[in-house]
Amino acid sequence: MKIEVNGTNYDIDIIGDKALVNGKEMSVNLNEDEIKIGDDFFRLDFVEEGQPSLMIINGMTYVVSRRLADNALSKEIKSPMSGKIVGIFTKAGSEVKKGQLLVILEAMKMENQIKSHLNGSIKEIKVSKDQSVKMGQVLVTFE
Amino acid sequence: MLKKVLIANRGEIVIRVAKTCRKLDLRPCGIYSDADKDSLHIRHCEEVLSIGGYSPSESYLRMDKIINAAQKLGCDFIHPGYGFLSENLEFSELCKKEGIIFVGPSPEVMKLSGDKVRARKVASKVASIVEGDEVSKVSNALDLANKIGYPVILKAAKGGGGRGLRIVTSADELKVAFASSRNEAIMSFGSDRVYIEKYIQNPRHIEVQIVGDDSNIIHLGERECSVQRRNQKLIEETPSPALTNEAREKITNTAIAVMKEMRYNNAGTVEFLFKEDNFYFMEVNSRIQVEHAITEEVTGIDIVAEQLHISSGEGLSIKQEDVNSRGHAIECRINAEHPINFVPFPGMVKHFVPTIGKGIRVDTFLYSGYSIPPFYDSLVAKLICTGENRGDTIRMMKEALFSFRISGIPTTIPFHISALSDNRFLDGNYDTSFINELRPFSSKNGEVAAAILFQLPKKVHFQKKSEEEDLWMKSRFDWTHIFDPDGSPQSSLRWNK
Repeated sequence: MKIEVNGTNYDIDIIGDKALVNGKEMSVNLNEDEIKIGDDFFRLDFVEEGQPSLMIINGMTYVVSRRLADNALSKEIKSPMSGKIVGIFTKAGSEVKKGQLLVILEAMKMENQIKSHLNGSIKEIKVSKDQSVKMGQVLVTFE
Repeated sequence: MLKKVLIANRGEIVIRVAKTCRKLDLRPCGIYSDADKDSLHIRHCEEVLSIGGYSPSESYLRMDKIINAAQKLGCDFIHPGYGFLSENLEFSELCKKEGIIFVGPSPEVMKLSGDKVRARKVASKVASIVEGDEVSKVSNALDLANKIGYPVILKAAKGGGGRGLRIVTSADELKVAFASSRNEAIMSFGSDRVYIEKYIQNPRHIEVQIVGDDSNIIHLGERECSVQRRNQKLIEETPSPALTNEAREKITNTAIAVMKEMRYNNAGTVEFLFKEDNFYFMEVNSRIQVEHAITEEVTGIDIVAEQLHISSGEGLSIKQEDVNSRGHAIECRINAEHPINFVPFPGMVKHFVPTIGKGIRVDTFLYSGYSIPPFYDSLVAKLICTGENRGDTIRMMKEALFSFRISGIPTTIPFHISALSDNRFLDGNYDTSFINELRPFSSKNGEVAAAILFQLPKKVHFQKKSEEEDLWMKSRFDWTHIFDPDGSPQSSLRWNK
C-alpha cells in the first residue's frame, strides 16, 4: 500500500508483527501509546484518524494519507467546536465559492469564520443566529 | 492574622500568584466555576469558593459573584491575574468602593490605559504613534481609511489580546470588518468603540515591562513577542535580538516616559511596534502578562511580589539600579490546539510529563487525567527556559520540548519545535510574519513510524472517545478546508509538498 507522510511516499505492508517498509522488513511492537519499530521507540502523543490522518509522534506532527484520487468532498459543514452562531452570511439556494464566508461561530472567546470548502449551492442552513451549537452539529448542507 | 488575597482567575496564573502570596505571608484564596471543579488551581489556594457557571460571562466575569466571594472569605486584596476582569475599570472601582484592594494600577490610570484612543493621545506627547483615530460609523471609517491609505487595522478601543482586531485591505472589506470587529469588541469588552490605524506590515512586536509606584517608575527590560498567530503571542524572548544597546535604552526610556505621563502605579507593559529602527507606541497593558516569567527569570525579580508591595502601600522594593538582567530567557506557550489549523482543542489529557531541570520553569495547571473544559482560553502550560546566552537557551528549549510529554490532546509543541528549528528564529531575524513561511519540522524515522501506524490493522486506543469527539474526528477535514482559504490574512501552518 502506498502511504504518503508529510509529502514523502512509503510503500508499507503489514505481515503479522512485521512491517515491510519499501521492501525492507522491520519488527513492529505496539504497546498502548508507544510503538517500537526495529530498535526505535516512538511515543504517540495524539492520533486523529481520518483521510488524511494527523499524528503527533515524539512532539512532531505527521500528516498521513493513503494515495487515492481525491473525490467526493463532503456535502455538509459541521461545527468544529461547541459555540454560538453569531452571524450567517448565506441562505438556502445561494451559489457560493470555495473560501466564501458562510457562518461565524463564537467559541472560546474567539470569532471563527466558517468558510465554504467547495464551489456549490447551499441546500439548507441548519442553524439560526444566536443558536448554541455542539461540536459536530451540521451547520450548512450543499446540494 | 494573615492578610488574604483572592486570586480572581483560573488555571496557571492562580497557581503562579498563590506561590508569591505564600512567600509574602499572604493567604491565597480562590474561586472556581462549575466547569473548573477539577482544575488544579483550586488546590493551590488555602480557601476556595464556587462561583458556579460555565462560560466566562457566567463565572469569572461576574463581578458581583467575585466581590461576594472576596467578602465571604474576608479578603483584603483581589489579584485579577490576566484576561477576565484584569483590565476592567468598573471592577477596580467596585473593589475600591467595597474596601478591597484591587492589585493593579489605580482606577484613574486604568481609565486612561484601558481606552486605547486616549492612551494613544497621551503617549503621543513622548512617543511616536501610528497615524489613526477613533471611528464611530462606517462612513467615518471609510473616510479615515481613505485618508491614511490601505491596509489599515481596526482595533477595539477597550480591547486587548487580539480580540476585535481586523486587518483590512479595501473599502469592501472594511464594511464587513467594521461590523464584525464591533461585534467582537462588544462581546469581549462590553464596548463597541473601535479605532483605525495605518497597518504596519510585518513589524516586530516589542514590549517593555514596567513597575512603578507613586514616586518611582522603573523598567525591567524588554520582551520580544513577534512570534504570533492571529495576533496572539506564541513565543516570547528577552532580551530582544532585534535591539542594539542604543535602541534598547531608547525604547525603555520611552516606555518610562509614557508611564510617567500616565502616572502609572503598578506592574504594566508598554507595547511597541518596531520596524526599520523606528518604534511606535501601540498600547499599555495594565495587568500582569502571560509572558512576565521570562523577565523574572533574567532579572531575578518577582513581578507579582512587586505588584503586591505596590498595592499594599509599601511601594516598590527595588530601584532602577538594582535591576541587572543576566542571560537569556524564552517562553513557549503550550496551547491545547490543533497544530496545523490552531483550532482550540479541549479534551482529556492522558499523560502529562513536563520537562524539569536547571533553568527550566513550567507554569501550568495540567495533570494526567485532567479534562480541559471548552469554555476558556486554550493556554495550558508555559515552558520557560533560561540560559547564559541566546544560543544555549534555544538549544535547551528544543531539548525541553522534545522531552515534554502531553498526550491525548494535540498541543502547540510541534509548532514550537518547528519554530525553534527555523533559521530565521535561530538568527534572531524574524517579525510578525514569521509563522506564514514556517515549515513543519519532523524526522524521517517518525515518518516511517507514522506510515506503519496508519496501516496497522487495529488502531491504537488512544483515549476513550466520547461521541462528541468522534464527531469531531469526522468533521475535522471539512474544517481543514475551511481554514485553508487562499489569501486569508490569518495564517496557518501548512504542509508544503
